[in-house]
Amino acid sequence: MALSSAATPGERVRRRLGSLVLLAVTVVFFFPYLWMLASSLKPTADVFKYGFPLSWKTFLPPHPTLENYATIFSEFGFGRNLLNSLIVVVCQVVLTLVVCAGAGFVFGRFRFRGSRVLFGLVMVASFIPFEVVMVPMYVVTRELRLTDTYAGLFLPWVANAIGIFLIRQSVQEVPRSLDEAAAIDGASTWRTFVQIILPNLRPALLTVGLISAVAGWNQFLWPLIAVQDPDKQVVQVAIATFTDPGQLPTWGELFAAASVAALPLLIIFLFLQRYYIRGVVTSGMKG
Amino acid sequence: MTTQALRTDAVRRRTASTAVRAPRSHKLTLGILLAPACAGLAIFQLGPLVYALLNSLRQVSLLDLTRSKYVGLANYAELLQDMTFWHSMGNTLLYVVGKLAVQVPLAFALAVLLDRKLRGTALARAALFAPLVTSGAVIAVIWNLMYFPDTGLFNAIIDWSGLPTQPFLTSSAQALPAILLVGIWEDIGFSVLIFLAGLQAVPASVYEAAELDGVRGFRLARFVTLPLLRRTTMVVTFMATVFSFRVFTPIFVMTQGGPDNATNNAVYFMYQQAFQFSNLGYASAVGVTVIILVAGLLAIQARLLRTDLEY
Repeated sequence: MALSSAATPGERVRRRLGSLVLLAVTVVFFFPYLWMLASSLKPTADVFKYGFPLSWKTFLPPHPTLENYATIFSEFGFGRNLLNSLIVVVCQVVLTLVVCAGAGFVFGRFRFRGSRVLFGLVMVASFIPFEVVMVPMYVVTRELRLTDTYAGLFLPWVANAIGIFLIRQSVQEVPRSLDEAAAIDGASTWRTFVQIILPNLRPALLTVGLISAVAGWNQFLWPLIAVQDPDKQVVQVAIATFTDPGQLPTWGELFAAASVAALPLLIIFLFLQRYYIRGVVTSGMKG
Repeated sequence: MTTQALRTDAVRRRTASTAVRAPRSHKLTLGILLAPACAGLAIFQLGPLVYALLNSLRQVSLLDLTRSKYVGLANYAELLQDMTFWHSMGNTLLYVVGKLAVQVPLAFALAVLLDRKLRGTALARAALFAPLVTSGAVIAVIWNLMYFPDTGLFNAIIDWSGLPTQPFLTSSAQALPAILLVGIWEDIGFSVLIFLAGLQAVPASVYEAAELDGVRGFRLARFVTLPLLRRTTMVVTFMATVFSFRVFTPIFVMTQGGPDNATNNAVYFMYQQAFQFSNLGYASAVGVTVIILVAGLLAIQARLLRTDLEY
């Protein structure tokens, strides 16, 4: 906007006020994370001791310790949950990319009888909120004997309508002359897809992969329903049901587990913001 | 017709004239590439949608699917008389209204601010978007303890400022607003993102003209930017509405629908009916009702925000 080099005094004051508001926003939105980290580094007795009344010790651990992190892995079997989440996310991302790349290529390049109807159905699927179909989805998964399995946790999501849409868009941006040339050279459809189209889809694949990874790692309601066996449970459900019901949770450990569940994605996000945000904006989907 | 479509057309005509029929292997390849996606969507998305519609007309238990009975609209009739259902729908609508009233204007203001590239923009952006990649479970766990009665962080702050401490989640008057606040914190960044994308699509010439006319500051936002962003605003309200209907995790983790059903909502009610009472048909009827309600709300919003404005 107004990029006049000589800003008026009024404009300067306004800019400074704006920056102040942004600082307040930063504090409000980063603060809970900071507090989570600080609490996870406190011995459990300190979490409340220094939480009330307010002091600097509320926000910084006066006696930092990694004890909580050690406990969640040694006593609560959190490593198992972590491994489950990792397996589910890796399978989900790889399969999502394979499935969406194939379908996106076909929809982006070819017209055949029924292709428009088929693509219309994909779009319809992208509008169905999961929560509304969760009960029949659970029934289907159970009838396929996939409850309490890793496959039951990732298979329902690999045909990702939004992923198909995003990849179709970028297939259409690849110049047609490229695959026409390949066809003239006698390349099969399959070879054209793998050697000509796929290398051009890297940014789109990264976007779809990130969206799928974030959604897979963060999913809560579906594993809550589809997995009963605690040994098969994922990180997010594990932290929500961390302590025995009726027993007071040990807060330091709870926060340590929450930090482990949240930080990897936050760090990845800081580096790959651009790709993730592009997917979120163009698709209207949240992780 | 777009240039893309024109080009596709030209290519098709050319291939038609040389009359080369696609080899069978080509069709087979396309089929193999397309099949997994179609199967996945049919089994896990569209199939369940149809199944939900059918189930809403039947009395069927989650424990034994074979013993089901067609009951027509009886599930819907029962819903109309179910006070807990009405209560949960009321809470859902309150949540939607509260969310739209706070989140949309706030997100617009923040997006305008971020668009000005002031000092601190990068950090504020990262902070606003961080909750987008944080799971609802983690967010609920953190906020749960911040809301803790007597000794929680908010009460520490309130106490420090000399005001009486508050019950928050344990009070039926404060629980829903408390859950709403978590929801706004959690996905306002998403609304800001969409507004930002909209702002960046407005041509600079519009602002230059406005500046020549001496329109700036609040009036610029109110009379120039906002009208230009009507379509974006529509997307933002659509998304905020849909997400509001979908709230589950904070309720499950923080209040279990309580106290006294004060935070029970549509999805939580449906979850209870299906997985606590095994009442599959009834739960499906709730799901179908929610779809209809969301569609209706979106239609109303589309009408209110309808625009022919183009830039």
